[in-house]
Amino acid sequence: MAFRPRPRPERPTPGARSVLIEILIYGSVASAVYAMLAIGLSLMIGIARVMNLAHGTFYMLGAYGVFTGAVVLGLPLAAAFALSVSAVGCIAVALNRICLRPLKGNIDAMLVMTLILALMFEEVIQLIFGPRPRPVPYFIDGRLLIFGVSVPDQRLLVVAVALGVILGLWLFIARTRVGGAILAVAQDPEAAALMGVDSGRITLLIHFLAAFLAATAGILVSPFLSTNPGMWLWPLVKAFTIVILGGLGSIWGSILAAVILGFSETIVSFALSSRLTELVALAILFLVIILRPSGLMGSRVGN
Amino acid sequence: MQMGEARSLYNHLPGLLGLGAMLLLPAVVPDPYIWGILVMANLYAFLAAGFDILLGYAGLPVIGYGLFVGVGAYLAALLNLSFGLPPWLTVPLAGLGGAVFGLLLGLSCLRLKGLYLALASFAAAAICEKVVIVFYDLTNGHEGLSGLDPISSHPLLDYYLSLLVMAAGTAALLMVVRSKVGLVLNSIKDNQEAAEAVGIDTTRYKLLAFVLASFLGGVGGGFLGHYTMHVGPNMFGLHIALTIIMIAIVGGLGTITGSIGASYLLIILNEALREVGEARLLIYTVITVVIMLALPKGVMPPLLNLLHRVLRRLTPRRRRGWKGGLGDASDT
Repeated sequence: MAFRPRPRPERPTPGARSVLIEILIYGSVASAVYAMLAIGLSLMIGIARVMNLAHGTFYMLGAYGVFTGAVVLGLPLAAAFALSVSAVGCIAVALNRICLRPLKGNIDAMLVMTLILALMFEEVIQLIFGPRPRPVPYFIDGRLLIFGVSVPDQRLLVVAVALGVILGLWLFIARTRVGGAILAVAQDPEAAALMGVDSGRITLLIHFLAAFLAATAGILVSPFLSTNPGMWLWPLVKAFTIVILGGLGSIWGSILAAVILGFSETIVSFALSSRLTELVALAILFLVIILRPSGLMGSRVGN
Repeated sequence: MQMGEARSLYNHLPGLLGLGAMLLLPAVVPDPYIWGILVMANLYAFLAAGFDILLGYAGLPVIGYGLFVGVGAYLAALLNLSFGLPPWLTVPLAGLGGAVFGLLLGLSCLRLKGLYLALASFAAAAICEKVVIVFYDLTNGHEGLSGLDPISSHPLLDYYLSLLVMAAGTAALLMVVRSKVGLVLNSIKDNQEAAEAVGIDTTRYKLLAFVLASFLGGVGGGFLGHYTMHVGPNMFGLHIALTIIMIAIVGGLGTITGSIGASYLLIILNEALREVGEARLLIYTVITVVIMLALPKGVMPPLLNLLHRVLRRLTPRRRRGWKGGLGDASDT
């Protein structure tokens, strides 16, 4: 994913200060998207105990959902958004019921199953929409001038919505009864079950929330990243990189790691080449797993 | 003694029948196009059997299996194009190159399993894919390398060579997994701590699984490169690895031979559905998901059991030696 816009020829060579501000802005955009993906994945692994390699699929389906709603059906944007996230949430819940529950927690089977499901959805989307990228119009036009750097409003919208969604999720988990049940299941599923928490329903709720977050991320970036059938792979890899770097099961670790990855990628893409951003994530992923599997702040759940 | 020989012959009957059918197939279907498809079926069966050692026996979900295929393919291509080595030399060398990478990956991932191993192996394969693209001068980047020497000069010979490689590879793996090694690998899969507690050097056996599987991956990649006369960075990628994984799962993990049956079944299905359009991977994925849910052991063990039952009906009572089950590690 190249969050950095293609350089336009008419723009004069930017000074060091504006480059710094651009890095700050585009790094925040990337971090916001990654945080939404990684928090959902972290919930999925930590609470639902599903090693979900189809997480990137929810991101892709969100983008195609909003394309279907806004462009194919011509719905207003808010309706297309709502349609897309709820449809993706329901798909995630259905996948858990139909495909993951029968595997009875076998981690290897879960990994293979979710990866095959991801490939299946890629093929389905390719059959329906074709292999070409499908353009989604900008949700809001216009550009904002921040310290002399002109930034499209769409990208600022990403940061704003991501912050809002993450704050909302935090309030939901910290302040409601259902959120308390989620925390209880995270700490000890059996004790939670003894206290009357239906962990099966919590699992489904987590699937819905994780898919909601991933789909929102996919929808928000769809206007400026190409919406194509293979777009699930790299967000998936980056989400896992973040979750493992931050430490499995630690939401704050995930947010911190999302910022680290978002900014290091942006810096690499400005300093060297935007083609190397994927290599940054891969190198972090490999090295963290080999050298420090517990991540920055977390316990070792995935092994 | 005679009884034992009869039983061993009996147990090998499905395999011998299958091998005989494959040997005679070109005579029955005299169509070079079909032979070409069957070469691919043989190669994928070979590769899937290699993957089976990792996931089916040792319980190591090495999703980045494409690493070995890609390394083998590029090594064979470079040796062939730069040094003019013939395919009968480059393909075994590709296997050795794959095995070196398998050993390296195995050494760095020794303590890993489950999610971490899947991700680490994927990352290793993807990093190699990117590196291959970056070293444009040597590897021709995204385009890949073309113009490798073909495996042989005749499609019929191609088919028999691929059959030879596949039969030799699976027979060797079967010998390995039916020895103590298969049991040890299974014990590592079931409970590594318990295996260590009874004094098994799990490190050595895990590395052995990595080396065996990556050797097969390298040979398969080298053969594939020579056969299609082209290698590309996508050989490291997820699509080829997943096709291999799906074949191993449909056939039945922990059977080795299941991969052969699944590879032929899926390839034939693919040809039968050619008119439907370019939905090959979709059909593969749907079938694999259904098989994983409905037949977690894969299609081959139930099919073989059925075959055994039919054969038992057909043979006189006196020579009955088979006692039911498959008699290999898949029963655990």
